[in-house]
Amino acid sequence: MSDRGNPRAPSDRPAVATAEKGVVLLDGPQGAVAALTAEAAIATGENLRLAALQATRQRRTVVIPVTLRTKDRLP
Amino acid sequence: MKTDLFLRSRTTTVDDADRTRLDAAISEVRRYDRRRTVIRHNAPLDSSLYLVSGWMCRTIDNNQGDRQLVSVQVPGDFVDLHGYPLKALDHDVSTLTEVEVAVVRHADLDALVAERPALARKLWFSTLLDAAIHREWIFKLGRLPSHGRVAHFLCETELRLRAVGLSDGIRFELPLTQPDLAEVCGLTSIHVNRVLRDLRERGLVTLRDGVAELHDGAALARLGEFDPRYLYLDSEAVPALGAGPRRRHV
Repeated sequence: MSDRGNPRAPSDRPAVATAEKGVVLLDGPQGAVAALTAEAAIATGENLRLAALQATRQRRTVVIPVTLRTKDRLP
Repeated sequence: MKTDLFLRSRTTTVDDADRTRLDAAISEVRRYDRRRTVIRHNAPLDSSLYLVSGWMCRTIDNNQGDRQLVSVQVPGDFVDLHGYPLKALDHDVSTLTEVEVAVVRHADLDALVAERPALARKLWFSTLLDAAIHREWIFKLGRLPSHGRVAHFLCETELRLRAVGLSDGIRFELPLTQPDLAEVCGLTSIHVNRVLRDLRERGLVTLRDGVAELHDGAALARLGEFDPRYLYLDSEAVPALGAGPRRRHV
């Protein structure tokens, strides 16, 4: 999947994390940026890992609709 | 004339007669020190401020008191012309540097608008230009990574200053601190510091002692996905540095 041209699609580009002056700087796709303390960054990393595992399991079992049904579309 | 720079180098221009009339509507000229809040949000307004010299900004604080800089005003801009119909602002207005502002009372704007509809449309144009810049800032904050946000702001500021003769296309005064830039770009100061170092090391731009120097404006514009059409500039008088029209996806 790609985030190009479709704002609803999740990105397949990983966020870039760098350390600067004792702070972790996160530059993600789709304009996501954050500056975290080292402790918050470690906790975020763990949260991301757990969520990614869960998402991987979901992907094996759930069909994600990629288009709206006709009746749900805006006029 | 105090309003010499109003809509200078834009697709809509102000002729001498209208500029003289606008100047005549100025009731007083004030000076404010740097880093002063001049207008508080929700305060009733009966006049609007035109920025003759210096830099100002519009800001909104969150509940923790953290400030977001939601726009920057440079000479030639009306700071709060939207306050004319609104009669109060939904944001604060502050100075970034020492400034000189011309005060135009709303009662005098009433007379001017009734007397000169063409000039009224140009005042309207200037508030629409504000809105276009706000839309572009939403794009910048919503879609660009940190380097792109800073690059976009620098490209925009250079062009806005060049339009009023305050940039030579390479160097311009930028009296913003790194915390200011952080508030413009939705980043932390540390993040801005890192981005500016990267941009300098990549040979794109240097910020030193309140002066920005663009070494590769075209590359900076590409990085910031900067498409200057929202500034409604006379492209012959103020040719853009670089990137050209942003790609449109259908």
